[in-house]
Amino acid sequence: MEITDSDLVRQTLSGQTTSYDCLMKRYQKQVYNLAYRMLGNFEDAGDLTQDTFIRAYSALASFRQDASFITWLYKIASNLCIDHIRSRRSRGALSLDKEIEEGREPSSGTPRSSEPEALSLVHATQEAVQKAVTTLPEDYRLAVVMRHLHGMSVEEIANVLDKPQGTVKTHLFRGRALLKDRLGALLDISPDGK
Amino acid sequence: MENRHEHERHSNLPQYSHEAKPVFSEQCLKTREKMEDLLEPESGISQQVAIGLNAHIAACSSCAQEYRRMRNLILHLEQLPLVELPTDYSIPVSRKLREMQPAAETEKESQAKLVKAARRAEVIQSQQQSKQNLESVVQATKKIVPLLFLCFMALCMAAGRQYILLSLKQGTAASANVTSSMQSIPIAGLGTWLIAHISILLLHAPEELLSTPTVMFGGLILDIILFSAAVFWVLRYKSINNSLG
Ligand SMILES: [Zn+2]
Repeated sequence: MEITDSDLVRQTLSGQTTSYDCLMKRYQKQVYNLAYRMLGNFEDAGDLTQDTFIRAYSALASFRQDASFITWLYKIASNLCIDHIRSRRSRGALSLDKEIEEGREPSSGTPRSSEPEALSLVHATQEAVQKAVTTLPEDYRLAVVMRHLHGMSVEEIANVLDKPQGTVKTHLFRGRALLKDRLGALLDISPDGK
Repeated sequence: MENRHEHERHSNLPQYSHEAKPVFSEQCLKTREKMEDLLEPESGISQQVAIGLNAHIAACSSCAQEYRRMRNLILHLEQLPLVELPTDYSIPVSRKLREMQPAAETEKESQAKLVKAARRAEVIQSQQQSKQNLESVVQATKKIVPLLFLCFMALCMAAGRQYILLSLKQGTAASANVTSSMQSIPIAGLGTWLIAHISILLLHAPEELLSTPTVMFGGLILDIILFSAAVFWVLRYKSINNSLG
């Protein structure tokens, strides 16, 4: 039987550092994906993943044992993402377009179409979708990424972001509307290439 | 309209659609408002509303296109592949945490050192305090003991003199009786008496010289009185003797 998150947290707090390694190995992919979809950049996503686990380790004593560890990690990661986006914007060092160019979608996707032409079209649409997501205001972006890329419920998102469910719903609605406007005719193609 | 506003706000961002918007009927606007609820399992839309929306979408090509796009958007988002980790981040994080740990421990150690030093300072202070207390007791004792000694000496001297005076009175009374009965100068008796008194005086002298000036002066006065008394008694004896003779 797999050891529970709260047991691993307890063990880490009692000094067993290997237990924290287990927690990191368990959740690093999810944190990394959230960071990547939020920042659109692999390098920043990697840094943010590490920062999230370091921050979580320092605050581990404040983690409520009855809460969900991944929800708590998402909370830390989403705060770091927003800080990162805002500081990046205030620095104005990189243009958003350039950042999006840097964060190339990996070719690990599994489009279901067998036709090469349709496949490349689906892939291009996916890239365009990711780019468009990265241009959303950060509140809308978090809501859309958590709802549609991480499959979280509105209640869970509201819990992570410390916001009322109504606000999350509004952010989702506006985020999706913005994406639909920006992607336009590209959305006439469904993910299965039809 | 809010969406349109957002669109304008982000008009400097990459655009993917440049289509002209068709004119909507009121039904179209209502459908678009509620359209997302059809695609959102959590929306809790009633079956009746869903049927109405679906009926309009089936009849209106513009709304059908919007609906298709919204559905495809959600499908695209949900089918974005999970990106693979380029590396196992638990390794660098563990290393960083280990690096942070000794620093944290040193901080703890230095804090412990501070606490230890503070305790040591407290101990030294209390030791100094008790030393000071002892010192003040010693100082007080140094003042009190000589004072007590002087008092004791003064008492002894006073008692001694009282006794001497008493003895002298008795002595002179006895010698007066003796002389009056002897009918002649009792040289031997007076000499013995004088020698005794002088020796007492001499025995007294070093003690009085060592004591305070007041005590010494008082002692001297007393000795002079005693000596004068002796002389007085001798003279008195002589006058008695003469009147008898
Ligand atoms: Zn319509």
